[in-house]
Amino acid sequence: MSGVLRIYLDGVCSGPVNMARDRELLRSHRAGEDPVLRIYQWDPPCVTLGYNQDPQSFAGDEVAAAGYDLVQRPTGGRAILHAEELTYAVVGTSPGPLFGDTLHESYMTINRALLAFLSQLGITAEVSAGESRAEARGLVCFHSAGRHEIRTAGRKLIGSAQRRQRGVFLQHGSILAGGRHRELVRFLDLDPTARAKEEADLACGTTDLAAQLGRPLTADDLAAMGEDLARAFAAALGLRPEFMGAWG
Amino acid sequence: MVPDDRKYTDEHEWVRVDEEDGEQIGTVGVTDFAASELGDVVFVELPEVGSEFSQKDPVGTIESVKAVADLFLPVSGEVVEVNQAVVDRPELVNTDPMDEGWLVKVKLAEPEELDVLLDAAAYAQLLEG
Repeated sequence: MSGVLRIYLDGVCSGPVNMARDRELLRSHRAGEDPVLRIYQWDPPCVTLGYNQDPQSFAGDEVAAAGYDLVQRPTGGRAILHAEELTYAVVGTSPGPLFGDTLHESYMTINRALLAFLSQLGITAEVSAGESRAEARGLVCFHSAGRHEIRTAGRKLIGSAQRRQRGVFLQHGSILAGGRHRELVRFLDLDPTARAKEEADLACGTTDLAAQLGRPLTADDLAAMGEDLARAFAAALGLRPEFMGAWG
Repeated sequence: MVPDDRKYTDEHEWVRVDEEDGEQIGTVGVTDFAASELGDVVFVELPEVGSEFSQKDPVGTIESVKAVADLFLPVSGEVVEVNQAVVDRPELVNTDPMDEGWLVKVKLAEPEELDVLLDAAAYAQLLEG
């Protein structure tokens, strides 16, 4: 093991703080440097929108009235309500030997870590084959499982997205830990029929760690899992883990 | 086969220069490799016409189903036209990235910058690794 994986176990932060830190990870990373991993949770719950998603498609005042944050991600994709989840963000070099030369290889490298983490929890999962361009233009991220997303028993469990620039990338992803991501539907500007369909799709199409493990998970449970996740990343990348504590 | 009527960057962009009314106009796009690598493109974000940039400045983004990739300008200059067709139909980046899926046209401020870009042979070599 020649390289190091610097790891920030960053606890629970607000949405704006989480996205600002992920943007800073990407901004400060230079091609060829050792990768950096950040693991975190969210409080209050936060709706994030994809980089190119129109904020007008969401009832921002209702999000604020619920006491939730609303923030844009530096990555693509569609809206997510982050509430009960464990989130990872990793920055690295691509093209390069560690994460491979292509977008596909970088996803698959990170997926090895995610699948190993789930396996340690006793959860058998798989990488999904893909979604259509039409699905990718919908409003809700967890509505469909894109190529490279992680599913178990046919239901999406982890959704990830990437930003690539100047030979480096940021990938972050949501590991669903409870069912509150489904609350997103209440903030969509949809008629009742369409809303009911989105609710049903999310209920049928997603699962979470609590459901898979058969018990509710506390923030402390997730913090402990975060350390296991970090070690799974280091092992999958063949790097020595270096725990940096919280950010800053 | 890499077309030899243009120059390339190691970020997989191309620029083809044409003479228009005594000005050198560079048409910029991404290569077949970049389009294929990104997968199905769903959004293209382009700069305002009239804005000015330096070589290698980020000027927009291309979002596919799996990633947002920043678009860097291969040459310095003023944006004189953007391809509204790819904003309306981002799939053009996948179906015809080297022609109909062009992204921006730039009035070159420093034509000598073309000398540091890759020619077709050098870009083909980059692709072969």
